[in-house]
Amino acid sequence: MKRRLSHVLASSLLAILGKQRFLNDPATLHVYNCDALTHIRVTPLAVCITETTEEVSRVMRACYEAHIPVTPRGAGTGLSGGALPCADGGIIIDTSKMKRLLEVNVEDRYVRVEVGHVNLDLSGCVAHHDLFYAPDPSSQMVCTLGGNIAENSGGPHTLKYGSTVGHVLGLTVVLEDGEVIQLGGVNGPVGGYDLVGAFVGSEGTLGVATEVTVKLTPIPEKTATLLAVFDSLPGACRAVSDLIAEGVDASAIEALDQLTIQAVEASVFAAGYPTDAAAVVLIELDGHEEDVSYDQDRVQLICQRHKCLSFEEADDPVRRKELWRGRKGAFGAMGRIAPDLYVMDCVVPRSKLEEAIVGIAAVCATFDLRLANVFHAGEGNLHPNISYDGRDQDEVDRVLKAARGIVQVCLDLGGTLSGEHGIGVEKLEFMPLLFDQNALELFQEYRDAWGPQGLLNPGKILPTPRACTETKGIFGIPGEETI
Amino acid sequence: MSTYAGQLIAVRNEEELKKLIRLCGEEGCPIIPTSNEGMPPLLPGEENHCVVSLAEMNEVLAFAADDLTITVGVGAKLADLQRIVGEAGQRLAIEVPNPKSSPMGSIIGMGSSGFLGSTLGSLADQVLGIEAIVGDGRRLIGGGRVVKNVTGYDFVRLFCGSTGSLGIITQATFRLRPRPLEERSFVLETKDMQDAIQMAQVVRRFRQTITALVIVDGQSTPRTQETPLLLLRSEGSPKALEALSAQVDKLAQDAHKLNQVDSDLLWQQARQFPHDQDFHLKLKLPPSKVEACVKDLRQKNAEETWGLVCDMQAATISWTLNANRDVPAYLQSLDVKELETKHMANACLPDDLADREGRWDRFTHPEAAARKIGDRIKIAFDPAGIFLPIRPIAGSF
Repeated sequence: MKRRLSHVLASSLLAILGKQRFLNDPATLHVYNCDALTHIRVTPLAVCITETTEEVSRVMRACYEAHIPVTPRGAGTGLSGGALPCADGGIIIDTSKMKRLLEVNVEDRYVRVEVGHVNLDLSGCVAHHDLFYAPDPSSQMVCTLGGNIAENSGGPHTLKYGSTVGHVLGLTVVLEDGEVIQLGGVNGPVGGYDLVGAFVGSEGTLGVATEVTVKLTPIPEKTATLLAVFDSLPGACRAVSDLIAEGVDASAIEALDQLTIQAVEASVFAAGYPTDAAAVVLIELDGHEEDVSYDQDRVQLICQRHKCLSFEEADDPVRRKELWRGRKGAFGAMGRIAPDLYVMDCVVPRSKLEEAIVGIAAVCATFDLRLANVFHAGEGNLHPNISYDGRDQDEVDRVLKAARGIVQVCLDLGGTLSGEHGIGVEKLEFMPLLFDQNALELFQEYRDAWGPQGLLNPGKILPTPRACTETKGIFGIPGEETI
Repeated sequence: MSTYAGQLIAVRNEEELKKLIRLCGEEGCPIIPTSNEGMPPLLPGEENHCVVSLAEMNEVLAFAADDLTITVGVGAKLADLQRIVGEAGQRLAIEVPNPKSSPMGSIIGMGSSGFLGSTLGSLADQVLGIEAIVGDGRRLIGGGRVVKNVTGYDFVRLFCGSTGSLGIITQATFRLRPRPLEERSFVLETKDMQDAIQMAQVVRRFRQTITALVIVDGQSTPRTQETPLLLLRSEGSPKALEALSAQVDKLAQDAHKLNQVDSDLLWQQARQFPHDQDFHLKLKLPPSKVEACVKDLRQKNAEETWGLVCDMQAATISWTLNANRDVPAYLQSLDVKELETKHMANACLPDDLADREGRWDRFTHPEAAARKIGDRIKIAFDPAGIFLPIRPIAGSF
């Protein structure tokens, strides 16, 4: 049965936040009915815009007493539906206004900040100290650290610097009953279980992070961005597999296929990629000048061995920025292809890239869909992007069937469901393909250890949530409004 | 008395382990895992535990050289794996005091990747996936065999450093890295600890890859040494290392720069130093606090302190005492909480002295609310309480 927002709870939340930050009019709530996974929509009962940890705690407590599920949300750029409220009726806590920089420690290389802080802004704050915050998801201009923590976000430079989890030292977390706890600290998770590591990537199901202490990384002495152009995508994949197998110490290896290149070059993100190329591979090297120079020669040799059509070395910041602008703007540029875009996220072993790309192309061809590939090739982290028109129900049905086929291709090659977007609601139905019943039960019991009432972001990660009755949506998972 | 009390039982595969865990669970017999062949030293009160040996579960299940991953049974020893992957020009970025006798299961349980951790990632960064059997005999899966994975909860992080308290790991997949083109070590003789720490702070700002930066004091070195040594290790291209060498020369102009003499021995000693002593303590703290903290330790306990090692990248201080010291009295006199508060530090005790009942009251960390979560997780995975509690030695540092 669908939950309702009681007058008692509404009054409590209003008293905590005031009119400006307690939102419950239908027009405003509509804005919160999806994240960047736009084909599943659920409207929240209300939205609470919090500004302090104490407010989050009080809101959580009030919802706990009313037994109303809560979903934390940052900038809403997630791609797996992780920021959707519970389908049976739930409240959203919007932490995007919590963006104060609380402490910068240059000598010890850490920053303490509220979770609404925008990812890229953090690097901007410390750049004059020759430091930066390494995780760089494509949405880093707008996404918040809170969302990054929830999804254990990656990005192109995860190849060298690792995902978000490797950069989080400590967290302030509000549990489902409103209790505020500290995990880790400036020294990282020391003593006891690594609850910091276990919390990052939990998709808002264990607690609401409100403050975070993250590591800063010294800006490398030298950075070179290389562009290798290929006449086939499988050929580019073979080159990437060899770069990995031969131990090139790249900080990023990204691949874009022809459809992506053409969309990018026709957009404001144009980077000067050759539009007749079947694929380009963007390789970044950083470190000591001599190390970079050594690897640069090796990269060129390997790409030439795979018959790359041309090879560009950019070490001036303007050209490098331009090359990255194309890559980072690729998802936005795909808006030119069709009104809607489904950005998938799967991982395969890096030696299987070519097989995966060929298999995924075959699946999309079967369903007569437009597929564009832009992906973190160095990690085997694929992003098959399917452009479609959400108003065409037949096409939507084909997209969803193709998604299942793509997942199966990746799992058959020894891969996994998600490298950086999370499971959310998007991949719930696929979890049993990877985990048996026992393993899924253990996930649930672990989740219960953090929040026995199951009120935190139910209906995410696990196929049979306890606090959110299943109503079959478009994927056979919870969802009340689907396109 | 349980059928298995005081027994050493070797299991060969997951099925045997599941069966044993279920039987021990039914009889309420606590289990201590070991990845070695023989009976490990047991503490008082552990005589009636069942010791399960995983030494035979030491196969290489998959070595995907092109993917730079390896999947092994947890009884496999680190040195053996380094040899196997070394033949393909690869390595595990893990350093432990005794790699020949260290099985991967124990390494995961302890949760430390050694000096390399600050440069190439913590132990959890090296472990891509695990399978384990929890207290009721169910199989737990965490991670997988690919290098990037956010599918499900991160049980890899949870199990790394959990000292075997949540379940018994049966197999694990590790990330491999290419062997470096070249490695080089530098040893600097410094005037005193303050001089050594200040030099290390300068090295931290070097742009080359520094894979280890360690200060060892006189008594913890293999040679008779009046003043501390600063050990520095780097890897990369020959030209980058030449550039580093020039920088080290410049830094060391007022200090005595030793040649490569005894370099391997020095590193081995530094790795083994605290672990080979009867007693040692360890602190992790922000790098900027190291100097003041060492000074405090020296002033307070000068006569007791026998040796001291600072990992200046991980920012840890390990020290041990003279053999004839009264350890309980020393611990009584050492106010760990005060040290932690004053220097923003976190302390841990050594394995053999850590109270196996899990005494956390000496420490300011983790706070009680976080421990409560940990306790609930422990109960979820080990409802009958057949595995030992997590001990204060845990933590990946």
